[in-house]
Amino acid sequence: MSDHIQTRTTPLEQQPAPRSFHLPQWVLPAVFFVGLIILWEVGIKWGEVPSYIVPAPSDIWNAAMRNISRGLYPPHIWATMQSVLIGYGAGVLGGIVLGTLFAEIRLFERLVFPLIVALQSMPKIALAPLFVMWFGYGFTSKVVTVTLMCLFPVLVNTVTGLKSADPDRISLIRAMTGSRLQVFRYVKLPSAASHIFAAMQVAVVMALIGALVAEFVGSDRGLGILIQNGQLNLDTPGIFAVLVILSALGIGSTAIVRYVHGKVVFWERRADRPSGE
Amino acid sequence: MSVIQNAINLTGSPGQTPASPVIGLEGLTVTYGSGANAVRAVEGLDLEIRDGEFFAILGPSGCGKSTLLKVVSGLLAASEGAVHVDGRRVEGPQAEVGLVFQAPTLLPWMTIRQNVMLPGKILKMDPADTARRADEILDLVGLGKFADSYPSQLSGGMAQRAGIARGLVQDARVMLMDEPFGALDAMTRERMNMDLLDIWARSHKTIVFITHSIGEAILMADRVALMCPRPGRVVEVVDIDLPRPRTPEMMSTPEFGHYTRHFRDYFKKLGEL
Repeated sequence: MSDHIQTRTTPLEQQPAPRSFHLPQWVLPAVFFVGLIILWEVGIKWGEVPSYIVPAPSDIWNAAMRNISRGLYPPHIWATMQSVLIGYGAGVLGGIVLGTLFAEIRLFERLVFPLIVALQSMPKIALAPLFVMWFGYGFTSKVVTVTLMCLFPVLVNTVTGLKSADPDRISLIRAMTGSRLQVFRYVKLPSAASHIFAAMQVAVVMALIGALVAEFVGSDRGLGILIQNGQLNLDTPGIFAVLVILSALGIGSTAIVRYVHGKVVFWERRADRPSGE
Repeated sequence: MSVIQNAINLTGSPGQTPASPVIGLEGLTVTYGSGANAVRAVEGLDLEIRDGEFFAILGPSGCGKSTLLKVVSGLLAASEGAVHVDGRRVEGPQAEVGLVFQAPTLLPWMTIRQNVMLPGKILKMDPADTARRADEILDLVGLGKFADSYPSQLSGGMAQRAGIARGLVQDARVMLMDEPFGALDAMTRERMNMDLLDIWARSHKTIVFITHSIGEAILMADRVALMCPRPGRVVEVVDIDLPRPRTPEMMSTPEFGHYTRHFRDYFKKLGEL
């Protein structure tokens, strides 16, 4: 007991600082990842697995390099990303606008919400073949598919976000004789911002899925087409190379959205910071 | 002193009689819900609050104090009875009535200055004028250095002062304050009490101050209305004849003790103490 009291009364500066080696956080996962690649390479070579079943990392690398030197990728990446960007923009904007109408106009919510719920529980991707029939082979049907994929998560989170606004903050604006528009602008929209950005991160991945599937069912350009060509030619290393490109695009786009999220909704990052300031 | 006079337009001319009522409540009844679930928060409440006075409303939780303020501020409609501010019937929020909440209720996406300027923006006051007054009032409440900080960087007491500064920028004739210092520690609270009295003395506003602290009510107010719960009614309005300016030392005088006993006896009878 007396020991206990003594340690507690030791002045702070005399206490030994906790010692630890400060490796940057990314080091361990990176080592693990590289180890995994090496294991993969060695396993395939030792097991003599044919590369059209599962290619070794070196096969994928060689295929990628060959295709890069042929200039194969840029036009296809552009074809996919163009529809992703336009469809994503339209879907996010549409989701925010529709979500706002739902949250703010009771009648609109009552009339249209059941329809939205029905649509939401249906896999939107199943509509892609229909869109090819309606909007034709190629760009437009792709953009429509991507838009629809992005629309729903953003719509749902916009409604949730707008409705989660603190009632005291709303009363505050109203007590100052603020209009509904002012309540929306000064309180509801900023309150919903974080919810909306969270949905926008989900929507990035949805957009890529939408574009890929739309390319599978009705297009002649894009990364989805490269995957299909790889399937036809039994070019498994080529398919894997496209998968690597796709995940890089997904990671990159998500990182951009996350960065913008932090910049726009700066106050939540501030509040999340560990206390002690 | 001159800062205050610039910052806060003096309302009411010096010659005016202090006894004219600025808030009038007649037979106010507020019912929440309907049918069998209906709850009477306030029933048949009559009250007159004079121009320029510091009026405290004292009562246990659930006596309808906050409901009363919501009705006067126009956020909540009366179920029965009449509410007048400045001789006009209250039909919704108005610029002449400012509200300070129990929590500071600052908007985290705005700097302290932007928060404090919000009433000016919403009431479409001249932006340059609002900015100047906001800075003066922030100096007054001791937050001049924090004008460009965000609410998350402020302590609880500072945030509450920012909330009060925002109320002052609105320059309303009547300030309604719903337990503004309830969440503060005792020492900050005492300092804030004195600061508020100081601001009130110089601005000639009418302040309606809700509290459940007997000491705070006696220390601050010209008159104290005692409310009882279920349904909320005003039982008694007590004149506090203590000299001004008030100081925390007065709390140990016999007169102060006399008032304290009076209110405590009442709460004992209610079974709240």
